[in-house]
Amino acid sequence: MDIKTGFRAVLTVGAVLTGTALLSVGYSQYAFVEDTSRKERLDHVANQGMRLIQLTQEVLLYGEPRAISQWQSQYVEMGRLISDQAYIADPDLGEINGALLIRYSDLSPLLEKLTSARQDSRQSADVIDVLASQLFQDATQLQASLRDLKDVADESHERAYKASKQRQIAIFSLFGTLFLMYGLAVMMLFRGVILKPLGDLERTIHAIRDGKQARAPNQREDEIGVICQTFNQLLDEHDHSQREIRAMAERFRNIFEQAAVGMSIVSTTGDWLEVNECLCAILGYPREELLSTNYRRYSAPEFLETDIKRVKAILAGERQHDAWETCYIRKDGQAIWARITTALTRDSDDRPLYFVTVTEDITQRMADEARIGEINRQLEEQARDLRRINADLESFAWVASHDLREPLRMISSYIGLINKRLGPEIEEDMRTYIGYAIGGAKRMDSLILSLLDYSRIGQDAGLHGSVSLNDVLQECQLNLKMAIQEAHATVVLPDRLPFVTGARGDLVRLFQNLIGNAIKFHHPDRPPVVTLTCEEKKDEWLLCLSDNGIGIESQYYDKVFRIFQRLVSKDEYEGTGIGLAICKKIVEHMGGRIWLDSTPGEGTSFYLALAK
Amino acid sequence: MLIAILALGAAVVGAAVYFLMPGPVHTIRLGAYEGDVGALEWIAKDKGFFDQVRLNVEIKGYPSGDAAVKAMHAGEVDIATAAELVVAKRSFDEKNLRILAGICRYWNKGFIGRKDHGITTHFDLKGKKIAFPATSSAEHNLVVFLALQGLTLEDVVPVNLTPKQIVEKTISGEVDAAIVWEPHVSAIEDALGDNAVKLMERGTEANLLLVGRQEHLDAQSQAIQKLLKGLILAEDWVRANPEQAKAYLIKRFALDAIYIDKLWPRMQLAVTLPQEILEAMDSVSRWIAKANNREQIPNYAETIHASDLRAVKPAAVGVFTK
Repeated sequence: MDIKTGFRAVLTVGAVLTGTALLSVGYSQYAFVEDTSRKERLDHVANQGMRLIQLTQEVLLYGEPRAISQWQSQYVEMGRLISDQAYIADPDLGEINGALLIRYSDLSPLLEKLTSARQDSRQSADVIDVLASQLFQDATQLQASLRDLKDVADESHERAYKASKQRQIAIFSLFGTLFLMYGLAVMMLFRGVILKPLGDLERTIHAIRDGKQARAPNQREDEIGVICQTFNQLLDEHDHSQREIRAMAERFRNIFEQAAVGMSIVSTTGDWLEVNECLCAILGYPREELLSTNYRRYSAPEFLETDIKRVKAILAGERQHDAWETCYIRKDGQAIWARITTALTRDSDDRPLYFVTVTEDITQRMADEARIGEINRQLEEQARDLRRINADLESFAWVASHDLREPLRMISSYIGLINKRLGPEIEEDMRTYIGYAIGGAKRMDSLILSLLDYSRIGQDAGLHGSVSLNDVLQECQLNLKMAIQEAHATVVLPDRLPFVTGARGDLVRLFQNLIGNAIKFHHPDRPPVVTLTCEEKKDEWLLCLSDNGIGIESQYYDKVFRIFQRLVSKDEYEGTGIGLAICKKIVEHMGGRIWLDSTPGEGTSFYLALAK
Repeated sequence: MLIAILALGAAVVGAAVYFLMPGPVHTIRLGAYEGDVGALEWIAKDKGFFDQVRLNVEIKGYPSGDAAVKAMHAGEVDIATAAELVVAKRSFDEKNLRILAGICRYWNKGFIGRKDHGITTHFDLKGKKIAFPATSSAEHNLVVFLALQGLTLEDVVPVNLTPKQIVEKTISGEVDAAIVWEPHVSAIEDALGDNAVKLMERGTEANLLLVGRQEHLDAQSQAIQKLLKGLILAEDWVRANPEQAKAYLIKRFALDAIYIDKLWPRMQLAVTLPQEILEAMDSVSRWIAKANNREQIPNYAETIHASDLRAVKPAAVGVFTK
């Protein structure tokens, strides 16, 4: 049972006990009043009866009409009293009342007859004597009944008094004992349920205050048991927290001491309160010397003002923390660069306590940054030179190719005119030679054009954007329509191809070269089948263009991507040998990679890794 | 052997109990009234209350108090039981008669007249033959009743009979009316039926007294006190067991239950010695003295022997000082 329920029960018992005691006292008083009123009633009857006796004696002695009249009234009054229900119902009267009623009822005929006999002169004296004597006898007998009644009333009163006294004593004894027991029970309950557990808890608290290990006794299931249990849980949590705080403090101390950066706790006036070894090393001072000084001593004079301004801004609440670079003077006089990161710690009333400051030696970094700056400057100069050279080269290539093609066309034209002028009489050998010269000029022109194309790759930087490979492949197929039809080639594309970043024209040329090669170098025994697949990787799209052509020997895997490198005779397969070099340059210009895998006689697979 | 040991043990215990009881066993001869108002004497005897107080009572029943007192004088009994009128009347001549206590207060008289003899109301009594037991409370009742009618004994023809004779002669018509106590009243009433007229319902108050001779009382004080103790025990039993007491009376005196229920409120069985006994005796003695030409009436205070009752039950003694 919990304490609240217990004390509710105790209070209920107390209330019931008090109520019962009050009811008992009330009942006792009520009974006493009832008994007293009974005595008053009986006394009243006795008194009225005695009046009747007195009047009877008056009538017997003198027979005065006044006495007779009063007697009759008193007789009626007496009759009224002894016929009262409360009087008749009185259980203790019994025989007394029986005699009283008879004696009372005998009075009236005797008195009436005596009165009339006295008034009747003819009536014999003997009759009057007998009547008077009997009336006196009956009156005295009635008087005896009244005495008995009075005795009953007195006994009743005495009994009522004794009963009341006994009741009062019984009530006070009973309820005194009960209240005493109740009080003792409450005290024992209070002691057992509250005082003792609280005493135990208090002793536990004192023991804990004295630094001893102690726990509150936890054997109860009431509220104090819950308090003790909670207290013990709090103790456990406190111990756990203390251990954590100690561990944290230890970790913090270790971090603070072993940090690769200088760490310090600085007062709001700038005094070092705590410094770690690294800070000592950065500044070149022993810990003791630092702890007795102010940071301003170590600031380079030209940075001190900035430092103070930053610190004041934090103290003024303009910011919670700040970081800046400053310069300190080491003990050996050497100036060092440091990056200061500091935060102000405040108490619960928002009053500044101290700064937690991290000092990082950035002297080396500053030197490196200076060096990198110099390298960058040189690189920028080199880049400018390269851009100029490239521009010159492009200009040269353009000019060269344009200017070179002009003499070639002239050579080719004039050799053609010579061949036409010589006519059919020209010797066969001569004609062959002329054919070689014209063919050489044309090939030279093709080579120049290819070279021009190669040089122009990546020049259209402004055309770069997100390009749909679906569109690219559609255009390629359209461009290669004739070749595909002639070779009865089949081009298999995936349902959906991704968007990639690049120049659309370059991408069309890339895939047109690859598919065109697959058709051109197809196996003579089977129609070409070109299959493109696409797989999504983490940062790129991996495309694979496979064919069932003649294949490439593995020792030529690199050579095929070099410019003007041919693996087959130009008589067997026409071309300049620059196609795959262009492909490679396009892919690499897009930031991708291209490679191949092939089985001679079965086919080749070109892999393209294009950035997403 | 076992039976012998048990018998011996019982004898030892019985003897121990007997000898541990206080006082010796006394014997007394009691002349009791053979009727309902003498119930305490018979109950004390039959219920063993006299035995409880170690009193051996040889009880003998009499039909009237006068007969019982006569028997006492004849030496047949030590203590007699009679109404105060008997004591009052006899005290004129018997100076050693002493009253020990009253054992019953009662109103049990009845006055029955025969209608066929011209008695329908109390106005018709003049010149009629009225039977009564002389020297009894009924005799005094007759005098008082006649006085209430403005008559004296000289206005009627009084016929002295025993109660049994009264019943017989009233029923047979040898007398015109009768005044007697219960249960004889009821017997006459039942026999006459509609021919009976009841002129008086219960009569005057009477007390049944225990009386003895002075010399005997002085000599047998312890026995007298035991007699009173036994009667008081009977009184207590009757108070505690009124229904059983009624049943006892019905059985003991062959009475009707209806009769007992009617009579019970008119008889108060109690051992007392009240002052009004003296006053009642004074009242009747005035008439007796006049009727018998006696000039001096006895001092009835001297007939009171209250010491033994006071020793047994002081509260029961109500008489004033001598």
